[in-house]
This record gives sequence, structure tokens and C-alpha cells, in this order.
Amino acid sequence: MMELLHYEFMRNALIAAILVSIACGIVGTYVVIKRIVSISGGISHAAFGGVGLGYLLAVNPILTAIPFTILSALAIGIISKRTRGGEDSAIGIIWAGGMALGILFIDLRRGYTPPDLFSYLFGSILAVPTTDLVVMLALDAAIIATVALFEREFTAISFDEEFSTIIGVPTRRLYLLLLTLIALSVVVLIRVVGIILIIALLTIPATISIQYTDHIRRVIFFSTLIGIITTIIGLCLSYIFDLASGASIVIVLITALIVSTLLKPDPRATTRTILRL
Amino acid sequence: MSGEIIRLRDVWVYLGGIPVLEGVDLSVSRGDFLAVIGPNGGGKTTLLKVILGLLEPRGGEVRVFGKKPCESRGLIGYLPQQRSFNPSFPISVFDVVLMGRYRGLFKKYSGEDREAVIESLEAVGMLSLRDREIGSLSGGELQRVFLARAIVRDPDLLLLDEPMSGIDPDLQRSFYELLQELNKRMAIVLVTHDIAAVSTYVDTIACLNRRLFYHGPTEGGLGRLEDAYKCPIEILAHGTPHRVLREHDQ
Repeated sequence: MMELLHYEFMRNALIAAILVSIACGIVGTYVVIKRIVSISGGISHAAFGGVGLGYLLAVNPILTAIPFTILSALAIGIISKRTRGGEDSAIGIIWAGGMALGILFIDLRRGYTPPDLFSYLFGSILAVPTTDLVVMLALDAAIIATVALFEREFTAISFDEEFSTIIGVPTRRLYLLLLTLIALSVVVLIRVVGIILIIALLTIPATISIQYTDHIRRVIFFSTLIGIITTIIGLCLSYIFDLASGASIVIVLITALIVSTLLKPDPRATTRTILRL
Repeated sequence: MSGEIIRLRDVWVYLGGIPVLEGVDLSVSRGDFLAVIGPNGGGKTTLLKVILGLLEPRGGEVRVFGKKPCESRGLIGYLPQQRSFNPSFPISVFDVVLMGRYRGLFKKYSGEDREAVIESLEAVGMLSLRDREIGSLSGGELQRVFLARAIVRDPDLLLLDEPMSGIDPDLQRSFYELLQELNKRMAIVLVTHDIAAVSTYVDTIACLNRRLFYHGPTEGGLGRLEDAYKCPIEILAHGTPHRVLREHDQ
């Protein structure tokens, strides 16, 4: 196994696993406790528009995905709060709209077959280029810094938005900032698990951890750890059996979730997990 | 004038085109203990939200501590109505109450804040549960913790929305005694549909069913009430609706 580390793609895959786990450990925790899983699903699918834009402009799709996904996240946040009961619809609109734009963008470059389109959709941890690792590292740094600065506010709005407004938290802005962080973590995750499966990494590690601790920081720590372990197992399965990495990681995660739920016979936690899936 | 902390004049609120508050006038002074009673859907929660500045009235004037409501929030403690909250939220009782000490962006909680949390947990008799996860509490314990969160910033005005929901009838008495104790330091406005428990503890009662009927000080029990406070209210007690007070002329 150790000699595998001589290959650049293997080293990159390991680094990618760690970078991905940091993003999903931190942001996934807030996604789960604030119960914005569906919104996060919408944001991650909308990211496909950003990938398509990259192909159209002939630049690295990861770079165009950043602004595109942030704008999609803000659009969901703004539309859902402006229209009454419109959150569901906002998610659907942005989800489908983003993907449709992505397909049109790729169509617009006639006669061009995008090289690794499949890896953006389904993930390919064994093919993460070093340039993308640098982008992922920068986004992770941004996520860590933001949460370090606004930890109290994120906790308050996740627990009770109305009360946090009353105690003086700029609730609307912090909510949009949280959606922006989800957008950033989506971009970090695209290469490894793919657009279609991102939501699993944003949801499952935190859902497992939350059963075992009652403190947000510890949920973040355990989620990151679970992310690293399961991603590396998924990476090994993907390498040994030549399987799609995203799907392998998700199946490992779900197995871990089932095992952890069985090990902790807390009825409340069990129903919670089942309902969320 | 100096003692007046809440002033509502001819306040109209519509929610989805339907009037919820119609021309409400209200005045609350320092040291007051006011109970607003009325049926479900009568606008009780709406009234509190107007005082907190969470809802903008379509017409009328709202002044709280002589300012716009949203500018006075720092002086108000609020106990929201118990609703379904995420029981799996990973947070301890202590940290929930600590949130009540929030002072603004980039301002960390201080040792003074932590002491205030311990004091208010002690005041509501919940200090022994400080490390418990919030989702593991009973309804009554939860209500006390949220009351601690409301009083932890030592407000001058305490707004309580159905404070007795989830509290066993035999514990309600001690909860009211706690409120009476707090009333020495702060004005209290509570809204509830449960008149029976209210009457002996509060100073004044107002009835709210879209319009507000403000009545003087309470003296005596329900018998006096029925005589003095003639307004249309349907009271739900122990799950059985029955009319307690006579129909109001208006």
C-alpha cells in the first residue's frame, strides 16, 4: 500500500480526501442541525451550471463553479424568503435551472466533447489534478475562517432564527453567508463525489456524529474524522475494484451510518436518521 | 410618561390580508404585570411580535421605551411559544441560555456572561441540569430554561407567550411565584388562553380578540372577573371549550 504513495494521483487522492472531509465536517454540521438538507441539494445540483460555463469559456470548470454556485445559493436564499412558503419552489427552480444552464453551455460549444464531464457528475477521486487541490485548499481556508469568526451567530440562527433576530443577530445576512459556505463546500466536493452525490457527504457524517455528542464543535470534529476515514475506504474500493469513487464513498458512508445507529440503540436517534435519509 | 415603557396607539395588523389586530391601544408602565387573554387566533402572539418589532403594523404607532421596537430589543426578554424545535440539536442547557447574552458580531462571551447564565439558571431552578442536552428535557424543564434565556440579559421588560404550556398544573403555581419575584425587577406582559391560572397573580388583565379590551386592576377571583371584564372570549381549559365570560356588547 505504501508504494502507492509514490504515485502522484494517489497522493492527490489522499489530500483530496482530507480537504473534502474538512469542508463536509464543518458545513455539513450546520446543514444537518439547521435542517437545510434540501436547500443544500438544490445548491449542489445548480453547481452544474458553473461547470458547464467553464467548458463554454474554456477555463477550469472548478473556477467558474465558484461564483456560479455562490449566486445560485444566494438566489435560493433570497427567493425562498421573499415568496410565502416559497422555499420548496425556490429549491426546485434553482436546482433545475442550474443544471439546464450547464447543459446549454456545453451544447453551445458545438462539436466539443467535454473531457471529464462524467467525473464532475459522479466524482473521481483518483483524477484530482494538483491545481484543483490548491483551489480546494483555499476554499477550505475560507470556510474555516468564516466559521471561526461567526460561530456564535451560526449556532444562534440554526437553533432559533426568530430569537436570534431579537437578540440582535443580523439573521438574514448570516443565513445568506451560511448558504455561501454551502456553495463553497459544494465546489470543494465536486471533484471527489460528483454533483449528484455531494449531498451525502454534507449529510451523513454529521448525522452519524450528532448521535454521539451534544456539542457543535465536537460534531464538527467527529464529522471531519468520519469523512476522512470513509473517503479513504471509498478511495481504496474505487482503486482496487475500479469503481466510481463517489458512489463507493456514499455506500461506505451509508454502511457506517447503519452500523453506528445499530451500535447506539437510541430510538430518537434511529428514527431521526431514517427520516433524514 | 417617564414610567411608560410600551405604548401602542390605534395599531392595525394584517396577516395575509386578514385583520389580526384592529385599532389596538395599549400602555404598559414599569413594574406592571399584565396578562393578555383571548382565544387562539385572537392575535396574542401577533401583539407580542409587534412589541418586539418582528411585525410591522399597517397602521398606528408603536413605541417601546420611547423608541422604535427594534431599537429597544436589548431591553426586552422574550419567551416564545413552545413549538416543535429540533430535539436532536446538539447543545447543552448552559449554551442555550448563554445565547441570550449575545452582544453583537465579534464580541465573545465573557466570564461575566457565564456568571449571568449561572445566576438565571439558579433563579429558575435549573442549575443542576446545566450540562444536559436540550432535547432530553421535559416540557416544564424546557420552559424554565427558555425563561432563563429570556431573563439572562436582565431585561426591563419580559414578554411571555403561553408560559404555562407544557407545565404541570401543580408546578404552575411555583412558576407564577417565580414570575412574581421577577416582577420586582421588570415589567411583565404575558399572553395566554388560560385565564384560571392568571387571575390571582397579575395586576391587570386585557382581553384580545383582534380588538383589545383593556381592564383595570384585578381584585378578587374569577367571580369578580366575570362581573367586571365583559368581553367575548372562548376559553380552552383542559381541552374542553366553555364560555366563562359574558358576551361583550361590541
